Amino acid sequence: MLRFFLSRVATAVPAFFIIVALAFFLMRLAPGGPFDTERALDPEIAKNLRHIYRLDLPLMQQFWLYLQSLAHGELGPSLHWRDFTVSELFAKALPISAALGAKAMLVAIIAGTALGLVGAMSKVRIGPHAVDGAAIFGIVLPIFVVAPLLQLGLGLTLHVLPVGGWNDGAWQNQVLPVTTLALPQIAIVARLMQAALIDALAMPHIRTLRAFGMPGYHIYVHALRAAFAPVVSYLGLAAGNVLTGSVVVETIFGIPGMGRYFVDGALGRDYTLVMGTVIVVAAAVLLFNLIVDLILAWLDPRVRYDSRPR
Amino acid sequence: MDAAAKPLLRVRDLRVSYGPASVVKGVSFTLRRGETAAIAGESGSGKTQTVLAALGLLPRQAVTTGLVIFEDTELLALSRRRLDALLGRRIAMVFQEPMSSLDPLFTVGAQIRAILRLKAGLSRRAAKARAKELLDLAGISEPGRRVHSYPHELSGGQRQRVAIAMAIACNPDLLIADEPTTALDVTVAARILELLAKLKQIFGMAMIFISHDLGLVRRIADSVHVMREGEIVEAGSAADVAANPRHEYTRMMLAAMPRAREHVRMETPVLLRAQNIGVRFSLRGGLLSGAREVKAVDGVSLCLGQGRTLGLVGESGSGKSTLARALLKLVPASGMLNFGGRDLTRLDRAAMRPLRRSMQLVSQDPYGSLSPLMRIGDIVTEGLRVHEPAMSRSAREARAALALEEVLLDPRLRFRFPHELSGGQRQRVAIARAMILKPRLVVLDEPTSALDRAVQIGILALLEDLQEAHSLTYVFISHDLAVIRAVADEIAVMKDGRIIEQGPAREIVERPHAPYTRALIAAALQTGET
Repeated sequence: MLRFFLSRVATAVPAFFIIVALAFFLMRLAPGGPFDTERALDPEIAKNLRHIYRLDLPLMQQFWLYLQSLAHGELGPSLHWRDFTVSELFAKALPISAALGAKAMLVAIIAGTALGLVGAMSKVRIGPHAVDGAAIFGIVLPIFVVAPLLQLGLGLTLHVLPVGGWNDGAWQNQVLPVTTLALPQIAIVARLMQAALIDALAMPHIRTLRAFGMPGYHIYVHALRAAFAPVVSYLGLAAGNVLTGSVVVETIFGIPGMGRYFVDGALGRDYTLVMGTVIVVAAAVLLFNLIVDLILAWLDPRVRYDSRPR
Repeated sequence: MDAAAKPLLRVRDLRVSYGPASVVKGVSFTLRRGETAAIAGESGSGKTQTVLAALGLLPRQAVTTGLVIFEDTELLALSRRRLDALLGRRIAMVFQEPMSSLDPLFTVGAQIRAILRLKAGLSRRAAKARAKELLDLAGISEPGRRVHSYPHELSGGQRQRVAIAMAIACNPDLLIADEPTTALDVTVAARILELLAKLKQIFGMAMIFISHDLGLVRRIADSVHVMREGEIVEAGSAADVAANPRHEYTRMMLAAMPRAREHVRMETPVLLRAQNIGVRFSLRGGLLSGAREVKAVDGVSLCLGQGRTLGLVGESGSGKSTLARALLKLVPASGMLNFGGRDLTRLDRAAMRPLRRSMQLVSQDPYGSLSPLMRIGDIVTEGLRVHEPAMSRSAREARAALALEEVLLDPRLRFRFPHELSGGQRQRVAIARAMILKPRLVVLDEPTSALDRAVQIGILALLEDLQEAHSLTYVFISHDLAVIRAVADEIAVMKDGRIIEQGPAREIVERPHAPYTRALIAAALQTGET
């Protein structure tokens, strides 16, 4: 298991490095710069600014300097919000986004699993189809449609929940964004769970348990363990989906999370801010996938062997 | 009346149907305490459905009627809860496929302990100790270490021993074994049978033994019930049924492979000559362990005359399939290879391509080797499209029809898909696909192993006719000595990648030298061959 863990970390590190390099150079390839404004800046001032932020150095040297500061945990000063460093900006925004994403994932796992279980266990023939059909709605409806609908219904018409804002993370303000973010994930997890569970329940080793007259809960423990593998594999992808979804959700609900830095940073050519978000997102996705791999290996002993390169 | 004389299990007019299709049509039999009854029949005869129905293990769509009386209890009338209380405790089952009948995600120890705790009511600690005892009883060496193993870390025979250990965990009165040895090599199967016989003695269990192999059944069972198409067509004591089979179907099942065919010892020109063939697979190690190498085939030399059949026999993992692929240059191998007077050793893939049509392969699995997405006609003519690209569509159609006729299939089948065909039909399609290119050498890798005996005999006869008509040369691979003896002019016995014995078929079977060959023959005899 230790070897498995180390080999997965060993592949994650170069992946992280490649992402950082790609983001750095692609951003510089895009036309325009951080100090371009409607009116042309005085050339002297622009030159000065570029010098202060060391944007006049050769690109490779800039990259090297950036990696050095990154090694010290420094994400550099923001080029747009000039009084803040990127780290300072993130210190406020990241916990909000992380809380939002984590809650959405948690809701998706719990509700999705429960729905899938209900569908697979249902004695009526229509049961699994009902779950599938409902799930299709969750998958098809885009976040930017669901969010305003929820705002309209629960916020403006029924007045039970606030339409937007963060309000220091009061639970009333979190319900709608978390629901919006979780809904498509619940649907996908439910479908995966139901299909995997129906397959698992038809496996010969489950028939063995039935032939031994084992109690129902015991049979479901075995079937669930087999069924969790595809669901857990998907969760790695889901982490990425939730992150991109959060950009939209945070914008619609006016939440001061990481989402707006994605957009503002990219549009304003705020190199350091963009790099900062890329690094945080990449690290989060890589970490989550590492966790997913470890859970998969724990669930299925064969993964620890099969994953070895041939 | 004392308990010993009372029947343990009575089945009366058991019927199973799925919608309009009935698969078990009124089966009745009685089993005494300590008796071993066999239900014999070919695949699809309803033998497994019968026992699964009796224990209420069929899926919900199945409709079961009749009486199943275990001691004084009517099983079909019991609630799920009451039935579950009997299952595992008083009645236990061993299934055919030991890989898939154990949960791959739990250690074997955990699976045995679960039964001990939930069914026998043992404490965690007692279950732990008893699990080891059971593994030991089932003949697993180092049970203390093996309890921590996962099923994929065990061999087929060991897995089946674990399944048996689970079955005897609660000291049942009735053990139902559904083809417990079919998926195993003959020498392993023989040991599993010995184990079952021994445990039956120790625990005084009654046993229902399901098998397609009447020869095997005769050795282990007291009484036999021969099933065909959902009905028992013949029943009686095992010795009786074997000695005087009354029903034609029983006689057909008992008919062993045709005796070794008497070949005229002709000197024919050599078609295939292989010298010192070696195939290595390297298993790259992980971060901490170095690379390992496995010699799948190790220094094998062969010489095969035109129109003759070489039988390659050995157990799974002995390297026979790898050798066959090396002979066709489908895996990289060392050594020298000569085909029809041409040295193939240095030919690369492109240079091999024109030669491919005269060297064909028919593989074991008639389910996996035909693409489920293609029509039979397209499958059969695929090779023609590569080797005779100029051929018109209608000419190919005609050739496909001819090829199917040659393997005694209805030419209209070419518009069907593989899943619509039976196992035997599929294997005929696979043969037609090889024959359409008019090859000189055909490598047959276990072509009959997945088939019932009667179907096997048909395929073997077909292969023999084709060989005579086209003076084909066969390399025939099988783990089944009876099949090999029926078809081969020469036999080579493989073990651990080497040929340990080689010679004319008759001599090998009648006067084997190597101890391993003798064990193989003894095992084949014990599991049904006479």
